[in-house]
Amino acid sequence: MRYLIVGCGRVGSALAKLLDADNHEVIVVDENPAAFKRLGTRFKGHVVVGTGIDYDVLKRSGAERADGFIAVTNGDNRNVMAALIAQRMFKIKRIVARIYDPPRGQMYRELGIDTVCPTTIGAKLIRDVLTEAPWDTLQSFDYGQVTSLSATISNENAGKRVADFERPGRIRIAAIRSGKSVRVPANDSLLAEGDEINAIVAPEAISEFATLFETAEPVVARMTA
Amino acid sequence: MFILIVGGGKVGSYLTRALLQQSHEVVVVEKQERKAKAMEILLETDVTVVGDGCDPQVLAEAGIARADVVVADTGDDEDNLVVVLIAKKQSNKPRCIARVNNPRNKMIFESLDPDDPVTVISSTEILLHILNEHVQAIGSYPSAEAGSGG
Repeated sequence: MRYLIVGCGRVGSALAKLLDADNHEVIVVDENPAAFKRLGTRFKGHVVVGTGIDYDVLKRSGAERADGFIAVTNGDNRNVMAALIAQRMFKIKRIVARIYDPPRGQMYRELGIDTVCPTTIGAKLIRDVLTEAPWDTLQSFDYGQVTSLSATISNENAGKRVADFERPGRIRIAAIRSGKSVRVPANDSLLAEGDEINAIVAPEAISEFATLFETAEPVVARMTA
Repeated sequence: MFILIVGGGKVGSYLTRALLQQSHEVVVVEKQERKAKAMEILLETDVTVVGDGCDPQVLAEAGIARADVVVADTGDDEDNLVVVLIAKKQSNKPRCIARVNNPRNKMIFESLDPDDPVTVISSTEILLHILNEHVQAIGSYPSAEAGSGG
């Protein structure tokens, strides 16, 4: 896949290195040539000096053939503008913009741009650490509409089935990890002690989820599926 | 008419003065206290709200919900774009006018609401247009002819 990243700050450069390490073709655009130092010496992708809110700069960066576009400059406004250029002028399919302000992130999502809000996610992760919550905020779709949580099955809950924990419209178990294998469960899948579950939880059901898995150990590790 | 202007630079200031003389109601949102102050001195009246005009809350306080026209007149295309995005969310459907520096960016603004398109003004484009007309009027540049002769 070919990914175009606008903004070579901490997040942009870290993302570029991750995608590059996964053997994707990565192009990074930044106004400041010194920013590319963050990519290190092993980065195999391309860099383009210029502003990400300019059609010509993006065209020169290969936007016409990009599979994904990521806007992670310092400015929310630049990010949404770059994303709109990518969407409307280059018809790029996957577009993600970092937006610090949650209400505006919501507004831009209505335009078909996926937004990631580090403000909300960061606050939730810190809350989970502070309260030693027995779950892990893996990923929050912005503004608390749906949260993905994980928990470990305790001795008391071992032998129960997935259906025992699911609450229609509120809690759905999406994946189970037993040791190194991850699977998508059926309703009657049995849970064993030490299994790690990953659930999609509605905001009003977070405390219900906590009660269900109250005896679980706090989960630190992230689930990969 | 109630006209909400975002950006209290030179264009915004002179525009506001002219509109006030025509007895329109005008509110200007300006981020910098210093510019807001300069405008107050020029206009001899205070019509500015100091705040970030890209913040929906600030625009709400400035009265966007009852604006007939919203003018996005900051010096940055991306900020003007966000002003228009917020204006387009209002139920009173104000007419939107935006200034852009990069003529290529016009299309993005115009694509936002095809039913009620944003009026986009690019002084870069206007200058280019006038220059092109001038070039056409005089035929070709004398220097170019000299070049072909030598």
